[in-house]
Amino acid sequence: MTHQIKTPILNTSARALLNVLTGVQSKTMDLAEASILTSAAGKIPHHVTADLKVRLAAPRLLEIEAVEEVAQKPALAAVA
Amino acid sequence: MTGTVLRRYTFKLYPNRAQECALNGQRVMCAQLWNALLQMREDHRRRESQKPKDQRRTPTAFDQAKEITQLRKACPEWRVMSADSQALVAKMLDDAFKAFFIRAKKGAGASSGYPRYKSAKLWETIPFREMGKGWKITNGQCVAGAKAQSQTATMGKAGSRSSDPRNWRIYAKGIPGLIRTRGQLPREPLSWRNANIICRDGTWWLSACVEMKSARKAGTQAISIHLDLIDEFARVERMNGAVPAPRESANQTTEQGVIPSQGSDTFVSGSDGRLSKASPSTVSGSDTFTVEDLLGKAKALTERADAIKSSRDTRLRRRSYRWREETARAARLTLLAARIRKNALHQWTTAITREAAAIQVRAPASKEVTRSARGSASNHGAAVEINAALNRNTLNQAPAMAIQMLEYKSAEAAIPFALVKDEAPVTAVGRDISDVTKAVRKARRAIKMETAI
Repeated sequence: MTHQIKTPILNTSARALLNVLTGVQSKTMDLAEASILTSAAGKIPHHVTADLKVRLAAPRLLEIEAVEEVAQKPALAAVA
Repeated sequence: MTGTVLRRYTFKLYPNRAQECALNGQRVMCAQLWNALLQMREDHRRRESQKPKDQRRTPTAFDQAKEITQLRKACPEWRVMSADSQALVAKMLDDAFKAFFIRAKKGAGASSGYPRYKSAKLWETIPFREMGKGWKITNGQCVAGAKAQSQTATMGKAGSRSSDPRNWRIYAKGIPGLIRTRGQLPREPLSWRNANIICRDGTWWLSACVEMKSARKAGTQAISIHLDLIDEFARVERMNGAVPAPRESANQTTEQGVIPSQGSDTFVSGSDGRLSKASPSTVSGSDTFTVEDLLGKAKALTERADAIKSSRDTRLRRRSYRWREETARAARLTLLAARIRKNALHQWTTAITREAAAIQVRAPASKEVTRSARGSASNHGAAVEINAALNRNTLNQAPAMAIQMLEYKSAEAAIPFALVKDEAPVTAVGRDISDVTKAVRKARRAIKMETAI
């Protein structure tokens, strides 16, 4: 599902940034507006990257949790 | 030949002291022969380079085999081992040169893999042709369910080691006596195609290629597989009727609806060691696993090996004793991960082939989607870290190996197989991140320049 959700957003951002670039170069766009648009679009890859990192780390996290669970079992049994 | 398959099986050898000594001698001779033949080729090439281009000639394996015959006539010590084994060493070198030239012509450059001189200490293999040419099985049937041959049965008491069909012996030329071997083939082979005696970490193995009848049977369902590789390994859809044409596959609706990934299906390890699909309610936790669990385990091991290498490089002096120890530790983990991954994919693909009447796989082109985002001096890359992580994740799941296994298993079961390239793969999200990051960089630069003016 990652691709279906994230890629359209990224593609829209890329298109918007291309408009910003041409607007700035042809001096048809206000620099303040261009700056706001760029900084807004610049945050999107960070969010997608963070999401992807979590997805890629999931098996490892699950494994760590499983190891912790096994380690905790004797301790819990001792307490009981 | 239709209905027959080639399989490679590895059996453990138990040579005695004298046999081990002779095997080691032959192993070293193979390495020496390789080096001599390689040197011969290089000398020949040096001489030929002085001739005009159209008159140059490269020695082939056939030419070198004739040289080996001369060598055997002149030096009796080379007659100890099979002439076929020596000719096979010449063929191995010829194949290595052919592969080198193919890669070099494709533009591989420095990574074309020129055949190297081999250390006698590291050479592992004594090659043989088909059974009867320098080696043969002398007693025992080495086939599951077969009784030991009468000769063996009379040699040992009932229930003893020698009456067990799993224990048999092989003859190899130049080796004193018969080498004890242990292992079984699942069914009677049609022929023994070739064999290698291999020395690995001080233990000896017989790796033999046999031709046998295919036991793989097709199922009843048309199966469509989409390799996702991020959220799940693969999405498996089962359809009634034929597999849709490749172009229509993306919009095809299934009669049974979308069935969850094979990864979320449950497999049970049966008493015969085979895996069968079962409903989750019928299985206990210890018996169940998914392909994603196993691939995740392999991935975790690879990451641990990477961490060991990283810590080794920061803490230890290169080539020191500790450095080499850590390298070996990382290599062991990587090998274990590779074995787990291969096993998982074998089980997964076998389970799918057993159900399938037709298979269609939609997958990205592995080489394209795992390209580095690093860029070049003139065109800088972006989002390198996340792309590298994505690439590692993709390669750790070995999608190309899964496709290759599905393809050959389908061919064995006479199932139609279609591979469709995924034009918009899930893993392309990495490239999209990279593109947006580059666009942001360009826009910022343009704004900065305009502001400065």
